[in-house]
Amino acid sequence: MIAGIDLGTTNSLIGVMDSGFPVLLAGENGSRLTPSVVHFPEGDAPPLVGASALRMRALDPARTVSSVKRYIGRRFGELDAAERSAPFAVERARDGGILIGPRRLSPEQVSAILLGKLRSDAECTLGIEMRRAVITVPAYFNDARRQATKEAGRLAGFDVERILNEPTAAALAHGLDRGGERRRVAVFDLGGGTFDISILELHDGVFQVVSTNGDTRLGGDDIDAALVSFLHSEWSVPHDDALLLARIREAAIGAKHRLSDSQDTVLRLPFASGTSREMALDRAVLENLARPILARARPCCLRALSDAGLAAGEIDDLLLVGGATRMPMVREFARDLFGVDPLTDSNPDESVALGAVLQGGILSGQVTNALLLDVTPLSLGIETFGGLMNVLIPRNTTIPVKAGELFTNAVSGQSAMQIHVLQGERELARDNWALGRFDLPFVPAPKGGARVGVQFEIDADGILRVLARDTATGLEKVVEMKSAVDVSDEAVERMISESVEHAFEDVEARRFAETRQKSADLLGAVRTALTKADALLEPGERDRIEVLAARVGAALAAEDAPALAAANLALDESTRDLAARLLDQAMETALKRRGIL
Amino acid sequence: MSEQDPFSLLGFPARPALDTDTVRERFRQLSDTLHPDRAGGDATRFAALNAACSALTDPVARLRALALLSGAGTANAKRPVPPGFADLFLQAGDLSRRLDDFTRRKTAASSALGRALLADEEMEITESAREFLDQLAAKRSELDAALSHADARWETDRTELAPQLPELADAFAYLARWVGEIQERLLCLTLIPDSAP
Repeated sequence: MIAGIDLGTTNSLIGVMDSGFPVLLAGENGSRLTPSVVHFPEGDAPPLVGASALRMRALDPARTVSSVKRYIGRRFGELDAAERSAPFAVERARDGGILIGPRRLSPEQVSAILLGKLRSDAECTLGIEMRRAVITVPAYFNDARRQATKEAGRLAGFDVERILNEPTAAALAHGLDRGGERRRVAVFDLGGGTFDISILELHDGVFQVVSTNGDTRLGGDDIDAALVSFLHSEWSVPHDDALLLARIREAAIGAKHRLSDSQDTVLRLPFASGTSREMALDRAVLENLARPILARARPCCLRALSDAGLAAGEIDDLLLVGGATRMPMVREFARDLFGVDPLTDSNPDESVALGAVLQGGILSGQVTNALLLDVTPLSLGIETFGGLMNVLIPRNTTIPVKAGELFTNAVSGQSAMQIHVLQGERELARDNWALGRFDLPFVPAPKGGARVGVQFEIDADGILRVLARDTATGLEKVVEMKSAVDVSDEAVERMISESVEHAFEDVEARRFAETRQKSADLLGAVRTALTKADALLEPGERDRIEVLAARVGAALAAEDAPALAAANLALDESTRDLAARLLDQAMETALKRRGIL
Repeated sequence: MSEQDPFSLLGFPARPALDTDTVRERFRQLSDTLHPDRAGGDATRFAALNAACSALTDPVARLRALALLSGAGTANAKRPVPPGFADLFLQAGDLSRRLDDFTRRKTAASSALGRALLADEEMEITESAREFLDQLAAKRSELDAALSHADARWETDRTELAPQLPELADAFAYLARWVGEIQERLLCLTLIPDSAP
């Protein structure tokens, strides 16, 4: 029996195949969703996991770890300021990794505690031992984060049979009962902490992923944070009150959930001092806060479509996955992008776990009418002359896959060559994720005489294995890669901390410089528009705009930062209609030029 | 590394033209038994099958594999830009630079009005890009015709045709690269919103 596990940022689920059907198991408090929260009590009492830990989050935020998935498989050096200043401790491990929570555990260890809880609850329900598991990860997870998730599974005592991509799992759960017709499906997966978009072709039980894209740092958590920060300034509460902050967060999450079903809600926060705060919040306010966050999903979706060689209208089905897709604005956003109404007959919280269970069924031979052909989300390559990335396996290649590369010595008698393995889409090697380095030994030979073949393999888990092959003996050997943490991590970290310090020093000065730059841009654009687009102006519009432009000029002269920002905003707003008319005119001119109008 | 050629791996005759859908369908069928998720499946054999499918559905890789099989040169040989391509080569470079420059300026414009003032230029530049893509598509049709022609004569004239394969493969490769570069830049341009952040 192979368990299927959705290890989520916010909630986790576990299930098994039962008489040919995937079934999700309820945890100790009767819910199939186990909150991905671990609370560490004082002393060395065993941690609380799930709903009981979630209850502790507002009471004891420093000892309660949530959203651990944001940290798994990452280096301390790449965390941003918000990720470093979580309610619980986030520290740099000696090897450049991350340690979190009051007991300073690695994210793998904390994830293992979550997985252990799922496992023991399932064993309790079924009365049998669970040793094997399929665990899901965001499709856009890189090699390091997949390996770390696999390691968490091992630490929890599982044989991890497969690391499965979440959107693919959801498609599997949804598509099994759909017969033989060929369909193109877009899976839009916005979870608590990660966003994935996958485009699949379903045909005769084969679920073939055509393209995938995403952002592993975009999710409902970000909307929570925006709402918390909004409430924070509305209520002008002190910044250093961690407990109050934690309670505002719980209230904000509750309000966000309620606003998916109703247009308005009331946020109540009883203060310890006996007074309490109340605020009416309507959906429009939440949507304004969420809009810029959601906008970050757009480029991912357009790129996935482009990589699949498809236009929006060519998608047959749109499947929404992840709790954040309950927000009406998210549903509309996805519908507008893909030009098709989202399917409504699946539970966005459960489809990933059901898919993981089904994949377990495929691996154990219980399910024979479905097969997943997944892809690698990121290009794999090596650093080549001039610090460029040489792609060996392009993104969206079906896995498992192998690519061979032959290396020769560049100078006579060269004893080894260092190979730098990278993952990512950028042209310059240093802009990509460094998977690791290894030294390839050469036998002594004149220039070009020593040849070693290296085989890069991405397995069905999306994890890389490197094999070196001696062309003389034909022997293959797995290459141990040195993690890239050692050197580059510190450089990255130094860079980030410098820029953070820098930001704190002269944040006022920088903001004013930016505002001034914006004024200059705006005034330039206004001047050009007023001369060029005279015919487009409505009666009185020129005067209105000129008055506002003069106000910007005055604030500039007075070096009054707040007044300048306000004047910019007013001028920007007042010229939006004109901007829209200019766009229409440009469109018309273009159509005329092509003889369409 | 000595591996079976992609044609025989997927059970197709080694020839210049193959129908992409047919190749994919064969790959899917074989996956159903050889994928490592299946009992009796095999990751190594599947990976080879996978690579063969990629090779046979891409004219560049297919023609290069066929050239190799027919003993007509390798993929790594240095050859000049194919005849009739030099002009396209210059155009592609020029257009890429113009698109990059425009994208930079549009990103830098910090107001809706500033971006709207660039709209005329954007329409013109995207039109030139589309016209160029049409030109490339026309060139691609020519190559496809040359490919079918070679395919039709393959049985009888293969010794004469084989030496021409590497050059034909290069032509397909250049076209694919330019189409990719221009499309990528057009995509980047559409990713900039009309109103600045």
